[in-house]
Amino acid sequence: MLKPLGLCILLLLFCTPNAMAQTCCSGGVPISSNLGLPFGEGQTLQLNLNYDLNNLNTQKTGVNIDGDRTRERITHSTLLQLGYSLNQKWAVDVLFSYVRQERRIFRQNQLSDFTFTEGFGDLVFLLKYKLMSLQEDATSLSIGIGTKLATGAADRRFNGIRLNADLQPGSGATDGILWAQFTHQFAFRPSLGFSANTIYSYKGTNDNYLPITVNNEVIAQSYQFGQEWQLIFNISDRLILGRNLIDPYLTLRYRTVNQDTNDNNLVPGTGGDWVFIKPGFNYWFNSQLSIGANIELPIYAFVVDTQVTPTYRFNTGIYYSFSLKKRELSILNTN
Amino acid sequence: MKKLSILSLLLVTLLLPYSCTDEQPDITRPGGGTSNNNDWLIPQNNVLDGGPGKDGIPALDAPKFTEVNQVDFLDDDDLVIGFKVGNDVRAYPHPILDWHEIINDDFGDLRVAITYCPLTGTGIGWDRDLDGNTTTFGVSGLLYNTNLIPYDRATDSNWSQMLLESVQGKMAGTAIVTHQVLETTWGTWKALYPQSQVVSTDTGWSRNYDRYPYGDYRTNNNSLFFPVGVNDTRLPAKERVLGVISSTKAAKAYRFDSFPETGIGVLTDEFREYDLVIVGSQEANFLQAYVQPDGLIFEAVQNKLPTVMQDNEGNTWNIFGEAVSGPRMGQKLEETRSFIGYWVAWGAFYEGLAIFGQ
Repeated sequence: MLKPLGLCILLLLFCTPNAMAQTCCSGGVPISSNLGLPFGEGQTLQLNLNYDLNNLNTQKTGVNIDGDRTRERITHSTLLQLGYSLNQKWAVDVLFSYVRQERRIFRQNQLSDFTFTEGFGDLVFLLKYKLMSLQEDATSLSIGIGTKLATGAADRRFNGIRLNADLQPGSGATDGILWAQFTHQFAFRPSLGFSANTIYSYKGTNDNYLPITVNNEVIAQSYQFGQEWQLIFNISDRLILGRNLIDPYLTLRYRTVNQDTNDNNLVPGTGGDWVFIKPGFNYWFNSQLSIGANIELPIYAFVVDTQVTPTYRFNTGIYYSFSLKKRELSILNTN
Repeated sequence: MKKLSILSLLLVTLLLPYSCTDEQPDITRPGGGTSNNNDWLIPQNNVLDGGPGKDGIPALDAPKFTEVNQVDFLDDDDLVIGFKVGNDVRAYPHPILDWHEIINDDFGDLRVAITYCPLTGTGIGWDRDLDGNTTTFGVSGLLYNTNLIPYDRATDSNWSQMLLESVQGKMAGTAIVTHQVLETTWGTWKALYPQSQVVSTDTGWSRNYDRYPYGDYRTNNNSLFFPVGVNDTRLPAKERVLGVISSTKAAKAYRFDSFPETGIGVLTDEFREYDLVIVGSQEANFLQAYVQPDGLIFEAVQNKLPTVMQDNEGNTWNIFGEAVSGPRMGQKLEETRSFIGYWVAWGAFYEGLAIFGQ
């Protein structure tokens, strides 16, 4: 049991970016941080529909706030995540996204420029395997491998002008994803749970970045977002208020991303390290259906060069799960 | 019922961002211009959004100045752009222009904009009077051949910095009137004009002027953040050359290597309608091109900055082409449409341009 566990940890450690890192120039389509639905019983289908708003209007140089709020970037994302547990060991998640990128410039306290794009974002597949389960799943360790496919639009224009990578709904590149999750429910209070997730995204290259045409020849660049690694800790509990079930939670997220490259040259103003705190809750209508909301705030940020960096993020969504096995049984019973 | 209401509210929340902001909000554009025009005189497909957005790089209006001896944010090898009108001499440091790209300034009745593109290394003095109306220029956030596209705030027209004309909007096709500037190092500038005024870092904007914002871009010949149409590899991409543009929009490049390693050199050349005299120095890091008056033969003057040339009539000339002694004292050599920029940009804008000496 320990061998695969050790391999998994080693794999993630070796794949961690070796320089400092990333960006929130890449407005922040919250794909990787939303990955990893909980394991369900065998043949359980889960559906998670979220709206995510990521607001960036804090300009920083290194760790210092510049006090300039003339630029604002907002990413709206609608994320539909489907999870299917094949059995108690294997599960697969698929994440669809629709993304709207907005950029506002203020001059003399008035909006002077507004740019937006929208479209389908990249599609993510994640195959998960539960490596270890102890004490009736009170403690578990799972790993996953996945890919983000370049299905999203990466060639959007505004007023006929092609926009750069930061403002595109998709990345134009196929990424590889490694994922691992540890969960634990405390014996002294079984409703109290702790989880730790780690996600490494190996970013692929968009080889058709900003193409221009000269003398009928297309000239394009190769753009690669910085490699990204995240570590997410979460603690949650269940409160029973009258007939209402509410799960409050608190998440701490560390994100580090390397600088982007363009034709293998570092892109300034990309890359950095962030720590976020995210309080939130889920309200359960019954054991299958819940709604939830959270707000995420940066508590530490180091950015490479000068960047407009996250100010806050708001997320709300609906979660629904149901067992296909039960449905089959009920159909059989009906017959 | 309560559950249904909560779910409905959530669904509305999910859909709201996409339903009410399909169109651009009202933005007041001076002069009634609009960025929706598609009447580009250059291939619109090759005009790219640089990322920061329109005015995302804030041009400076009415800059504050300081004395040379008060400046502590420049190193001797930092570049500055100098401009002289009579006895009014001012320097515009690259470390400030890197963050603002355009400085709108006044010299009495002469209103200029120092336009500078960090990605092509081109600093050019533009006249702000257009068709009798005074305007200021801002940074459109757009690039063509990785070069700055300023916009004028009077008509919202877009201009190509290196083509020296408006390329979109009401002013499309209008050529800009340029004023010759001097690009050199801070060390040389201090020696040339120790009494001059220098743009202060008190710009009203919070920027780190001690730090170059583009990494190794200035020296990495492989690094281009945006594609160019023609990549002329005859010279290293980031070699700084002086380009002279003729009335027929042809150009010729002059290299620092054509001048002596120490001291000042002068050369003459014929290029299209011009008989040119070019004065330059590798050591002091400047190159200036003027029209050579008939009958005058120039030679370099050493160690007497800002005087750099003398002629066969006994006149001496300063680096801005002004006769400072001799029978022509007070006269000024005719300016050329010329400026220093990275070779990659000259090669892209003026395909196949000639290189002096090759």
